[in-house]
Amino acid sequence: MGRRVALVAVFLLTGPARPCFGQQSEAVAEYLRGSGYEELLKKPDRTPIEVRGLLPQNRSRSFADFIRTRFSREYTFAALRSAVENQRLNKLVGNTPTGTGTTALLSKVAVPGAFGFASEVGAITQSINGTTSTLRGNLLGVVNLIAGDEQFPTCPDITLPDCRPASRWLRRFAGSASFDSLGSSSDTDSASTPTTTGEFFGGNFRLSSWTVRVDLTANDPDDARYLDRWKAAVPKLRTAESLKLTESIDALIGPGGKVSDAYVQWLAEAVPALQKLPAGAFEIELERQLETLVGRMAAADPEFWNKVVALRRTSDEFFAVRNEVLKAIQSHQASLEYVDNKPIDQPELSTVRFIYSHQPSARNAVLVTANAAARWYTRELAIVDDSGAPVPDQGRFRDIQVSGQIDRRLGPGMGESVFSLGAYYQWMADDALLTFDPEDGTAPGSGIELTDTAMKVLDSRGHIGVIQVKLTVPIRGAMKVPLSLTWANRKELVTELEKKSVLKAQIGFTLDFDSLLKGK
Amino acid sequence: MACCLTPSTSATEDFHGDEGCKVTLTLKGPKGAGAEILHIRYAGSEIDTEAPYQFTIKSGRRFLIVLVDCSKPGVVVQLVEKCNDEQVIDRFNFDPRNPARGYIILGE
Repeated sequence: MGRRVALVAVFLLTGPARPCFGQQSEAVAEYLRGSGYEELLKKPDRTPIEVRGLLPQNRSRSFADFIRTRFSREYTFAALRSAVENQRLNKLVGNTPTGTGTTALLSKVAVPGAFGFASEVGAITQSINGTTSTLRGNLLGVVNLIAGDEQFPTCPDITLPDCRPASRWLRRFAGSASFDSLGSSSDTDSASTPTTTGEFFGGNFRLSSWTVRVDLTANDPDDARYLDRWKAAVPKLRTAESLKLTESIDALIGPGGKVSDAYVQWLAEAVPALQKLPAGAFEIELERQLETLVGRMAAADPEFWNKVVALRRTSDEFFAVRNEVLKAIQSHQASLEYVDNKPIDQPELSTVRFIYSHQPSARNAVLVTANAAARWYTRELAIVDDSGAPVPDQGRFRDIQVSGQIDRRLGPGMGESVFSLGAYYQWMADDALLTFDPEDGTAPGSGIELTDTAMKVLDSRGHIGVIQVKLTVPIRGAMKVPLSLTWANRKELVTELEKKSVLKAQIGFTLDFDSLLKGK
Repeated sequence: MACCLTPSTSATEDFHGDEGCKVTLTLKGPKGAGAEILHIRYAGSEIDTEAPYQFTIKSGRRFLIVLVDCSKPGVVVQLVEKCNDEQVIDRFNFDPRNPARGYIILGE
């Protein structure tokens, strides 16, 4: 305990950069942002409860951010340790000794440690869908990871008016990378372990696509229709993430069901010290008091730094849920997306897509969505026909796609089923291409050396139209049964002779594990 | 029903109240603010996720967390104890980056 106190004292004296005498630091300014404290400081005599309104019990996320800024070494070490320990635990569960030895294990931990660390601090998130695992990140989160939160403070959707311009723009950009499993490994334990970011850098996964998206619209809180949508969406905020947030705050200030002694003792000193100070002196004294509090809580609780990391992570997760809820209730939404797709047996494709959706009214629950996209082959290719002879003059532009869909919720009488009507049109400017990999690197029947080669699917160019009607029936909340009827005038990769219309009926079953685990 | 919470003049707790007294909370905001309580957590384990938001005072110094949300940032909202003389126990600017409000209650 004595050694820990001494260590904390060393950090307090040498670690945090101190402001010049008489100046408040950016860290405390950021701590107080959004609190309305300027009005409070106009009162010469504040009550204790008014002062406590500005203290960590009421500004827990701001307190955690303050700690991350002022005690960056201790915080970063705790976050990295947490991330590496999580990765190591996953590796131990699924791993069996192999000939690759410890070198491979160390390299796999080091690289995903950065991603794991990024995940730990909320810069990226991971989702798994069947054999495809996807990492998603928001540019604001990634930049904060590199440059530090004090440069671009967190900017949840609802705080947009209060955000810095740079934060407001950075948060509009998001990206993702998807990895497909190439097949099961010989490790019989791996089926029982979740995919980790470390495994993406091993041999069993391939990068199948990556995207970058920019959101072009935002909510208008003063719109009366927005308020109706907001009220209807509030139940979606009562999630596991909201419970974890308050749990992590409780763990920091009220562990074991009682308020921390260190926090209570600090209140006895800090509240009187702050009650009568004028603006300027108040901020400086507050910063001094917050640093004192950190030192005492860290000395009293060996898990203090881990709890601060957990608090930031749980608040980021809650903000992410809220952002998605707010995004879903926007009347007009538009975004622009670039997708790099690496399909198996086809050349690499690039797509630019404009996405628009509009919900005319919250009452009749109608959603209109439209997409427009252009697609092209990412690289120059050597095109050959099925005999291996070069085919000239095929450009890289592949197709344009236009689609629209109307979704309508049918109401309680139909069990909240959703009826959808959609139409899709694609115009292929030229024949489709398939990649092939000749065994000897030459075109069949010739000595022509081939690299980045694709073969035309002759006469596959032209128009493709698809119409679909669908009814999605929810069963007991998390389970849904989609029933659809789809007509297409042809498939994409067929020749002229094979072109014929297709009519398909489909029935499926989906299970929303997120809803199931949240008890919805 | 008499009010349970009495504002404290001490620096180390926000309210005191009798052990066993049941507190009912609600949130009020200006028209157009959409102010809502998402859940409350008292003394670590007592959680209420739907209205009426209630907890029973325990002895000692315990922590009450009230997670709130509004459709607009910066609006002034009031946390109210619902009792015979409905009392406003806190008034604050809603800050979406700090949606959890914490109160120390001394149960006697």
